[in-house]
Amino acid sequence: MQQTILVCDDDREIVESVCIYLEGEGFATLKAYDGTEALEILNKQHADLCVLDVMMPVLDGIRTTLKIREKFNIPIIILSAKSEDTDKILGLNIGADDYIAKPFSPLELVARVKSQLRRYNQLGNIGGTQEQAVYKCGGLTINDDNKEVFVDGEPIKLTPIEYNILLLLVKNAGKVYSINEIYEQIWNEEAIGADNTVAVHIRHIREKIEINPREPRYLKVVWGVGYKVEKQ
Amino acid sequence: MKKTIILIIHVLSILAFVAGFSAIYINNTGSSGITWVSAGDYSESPQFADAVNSDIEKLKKLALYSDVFGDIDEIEDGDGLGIVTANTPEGPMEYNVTDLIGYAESFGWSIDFETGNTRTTNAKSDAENFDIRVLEKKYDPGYLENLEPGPSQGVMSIKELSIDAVKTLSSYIILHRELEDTASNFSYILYYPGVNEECVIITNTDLRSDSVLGLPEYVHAVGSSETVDTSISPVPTAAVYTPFDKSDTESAEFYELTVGIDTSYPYSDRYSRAAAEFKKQANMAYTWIAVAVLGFVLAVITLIFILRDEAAEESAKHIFDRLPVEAFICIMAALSVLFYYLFKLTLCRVMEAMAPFSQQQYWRTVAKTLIVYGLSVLILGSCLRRYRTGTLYKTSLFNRLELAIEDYLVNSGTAGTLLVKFVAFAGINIFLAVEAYRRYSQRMVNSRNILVSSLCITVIIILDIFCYGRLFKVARQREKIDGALKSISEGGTNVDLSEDEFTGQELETARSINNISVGLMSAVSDQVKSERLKADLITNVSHDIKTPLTSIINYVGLLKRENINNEKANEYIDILERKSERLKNLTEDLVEASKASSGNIRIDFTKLDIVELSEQAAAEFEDKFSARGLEFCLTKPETPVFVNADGRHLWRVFENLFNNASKYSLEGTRVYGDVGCSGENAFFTIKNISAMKLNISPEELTERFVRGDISRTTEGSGLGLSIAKSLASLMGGELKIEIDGDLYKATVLLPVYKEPEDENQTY
Repeated sequence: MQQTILVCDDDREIVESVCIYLEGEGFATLKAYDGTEALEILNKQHADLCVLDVMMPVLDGIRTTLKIREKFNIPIIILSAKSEDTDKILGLNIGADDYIAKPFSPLELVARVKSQLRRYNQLGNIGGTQEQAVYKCGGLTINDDNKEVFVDGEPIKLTPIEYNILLLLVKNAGKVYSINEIYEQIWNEEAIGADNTVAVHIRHIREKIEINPREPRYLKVVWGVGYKVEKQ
Repeated sequence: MKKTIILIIHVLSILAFVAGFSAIYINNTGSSGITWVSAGDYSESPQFADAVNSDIEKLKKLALYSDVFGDIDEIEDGDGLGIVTANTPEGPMEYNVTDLIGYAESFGWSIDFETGNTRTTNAKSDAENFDIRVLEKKYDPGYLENLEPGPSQGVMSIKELSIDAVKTLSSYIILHRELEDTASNFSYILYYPGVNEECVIITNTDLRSDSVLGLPEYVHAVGSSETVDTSISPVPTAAVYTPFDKSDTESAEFYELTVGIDTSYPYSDRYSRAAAEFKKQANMAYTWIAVAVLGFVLAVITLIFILRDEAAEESAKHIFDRLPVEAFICIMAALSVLFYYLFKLTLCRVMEAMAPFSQQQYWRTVAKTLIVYGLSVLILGSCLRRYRTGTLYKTSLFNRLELAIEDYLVNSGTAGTLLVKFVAFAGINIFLAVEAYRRYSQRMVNSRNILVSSLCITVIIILDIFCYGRLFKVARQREKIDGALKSISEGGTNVDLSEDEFTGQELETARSINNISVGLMSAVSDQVKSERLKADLITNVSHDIKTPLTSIINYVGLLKRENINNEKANEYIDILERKSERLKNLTEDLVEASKASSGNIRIDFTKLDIVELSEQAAAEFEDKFSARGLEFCLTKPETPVFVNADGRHLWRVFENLFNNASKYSLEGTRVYGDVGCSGENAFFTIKNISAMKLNISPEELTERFVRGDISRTTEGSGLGLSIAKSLASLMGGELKIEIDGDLYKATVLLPVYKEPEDENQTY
């Protein structure tokens, strides 16, 4: 089944290019060039996901998001030239599911679109049938019984140490572990003269489970303190 | 013309006044003119008393002479009494009157017995002249006692003696003729002791003594009393008895003088004439008084006119009006001295020749007064003109002096003023102290001194307290000013000194400081505003760049997906991809750099371990280092080193430093990291060998857009170190760059975390 993505930006070239990438991945696209146009299209046609620019004429992305949320619960990804934390927080708080700062890599956008759609379509109704040995954190799922890790439904391959570190952090989501603590937990020995093995492992994990390792969604670096998995 | 007339009238009236005044003040009765008016009648005037007194003296002299010379007729008949005893060459001898008249005649002197007048003839005398020594002159009892004792005492020639005797006889005859007249208003009865110790009586009246005393004016004196019973004032003291022979005291009882003056003047004699003259003079005196008063009034009126005219002058027309008023007065004073000197040389001689001696002093005074008066009028006129034109004070030396002092005070500034003030203060203090001491030491002399002394001390105390109060006030104000200055020098801008609290010099300073503060404040706020504007501008421009950049990146990506078999085209596409990626980084760094350098950034301080951060950073950059064949060696302490910083910003600092090391290190070398704590500061140092020559100063490296490779061929915005430095300083730390040859060394210093107060502090 072909899924439909609504792309809305006042810059026609961006809309075009994004659509080309999405169509290349097999999505159907709808194009809008301002907020009101996007709302009109949504009212007439079905869309599975919406990519919205923030700064648009007539009706900006934030208001459009609010309007969409009045009727639909489809995933919304916000695109913006504003890269401040406050902008991101605002966007996510009013109902957007993801936030991508311009200039973005088109491949990252495609990856995020796919991720959002997977969660929306496949994982949305799994919650109830969870087993004891399955740990979930947002789109991240760890099945401890068969040592499998899924991100938005996609299986991820991890080394045993990487798996153990991720499991420790997911099990205790929200808690910050320092390098030494992780070392002591995983290697079961005192962390004297431990080199940066742990930190390197964590970077590797991040590279595997995150779409953009520099802006991780799951495994976050608390600079100068340690690492944690965000509780979601 | 009118002015000239007025001036002439003025001079005339002055002269009239002087004439009138002089006529009253000086006259032939000897500067007592005004008494004519006050006496009213001749018999009450001092002149009358003088006349009576003089007549009584004459009377007493007559008594003496008649006693000595005897009857005039007998002398004429050659039956004179002996009057002189003397030692002559022939031995002791007594000369009688007749003898001496004879000698005198032989020397050319003769006497008329009727009138008493003497005559001299120039007939050559053949009479022998010889010296004698006079032992006694009966007509001059005190004669010998009045001479110098010695061998020549009383020595004179017979000629001198005879002439002397004749002259005395002459005066006796004159007195006798004058007083014997019975038709006189002056009636007298004189009893006195004669030569032969008998009571002699001389009189010119038939009246008894009580009738004489019944006359309107009378004098009565007796030998036993020194008081005189009289109606005349001042008392004619000549009436008191004075014995001819001083050793004789008993004869005083014979003396009785009774004098009466009939003021109805039935006879025409010297009294009636004097009374008539007095009346005339008194009338004259009234006239002169009227003249003087009129002259005075006229002089005053004309003076007012003259001065009014002078005052009406619009401009200073006289040359001396341009002189300072004090100089003018001095010149006038000098002129008055000169004029008086001239007067003494010329007019004074004339006056001396004309006026009696007793009046000369008076006339000199009049001349002086007139000179001074005339020059005073000139001065007054000049002053009035100056006053009128408003230049009186302006042209005065006093004003110039005042201006000069003011000028000095203004130009010499605080120090000069202080000196003047101090000298005045010290002078007053010393003067009062000395005065107090002097008065106190003389407190016995005058009881008021102790009061003055304590007053002086009180004034000193009040003055000193006042001065101290001033100084204290100034010091307090200075303190406030110092405080304000200190706060400004320490970077404070919000200084507002209340101007009500300051006075004088301090007020000026306070105002200046306030102005500085306002200037600083506006400068700082302007700068902050402009920094913010700049940051905003950069942010907005970056946002506007990002949208087209997105398109570029997207379409470059799309191009790559097209299967282009042109090798060159593929190469170009790669370059486009790299450069668009670089542009992306640049815009992000630019925003961050502008925010960091303007401080327009939110910093959440937390306690974090810089060692942990170093390890995390090392892990993040592990593959970047290994990609370039670099080995990272971290030296770290066993224990955590906590600092107070914002994790994400500090990560940005580390990221930039690690990024630089990974990009610019010589391939295949080691990169050394060193983390630890020294004293108050935690530090992280990263050292690497630069691949390129570092011909640039460490200071320049942290400037924006400055990069180690001048050619800028490598990737990088040139903002990394600038951002790192700004962020480090925003977190209270420091970023130091050192370059030693190719060895590049960057050190981050941050204050060590302090437990109690610095936790979760937010700026």
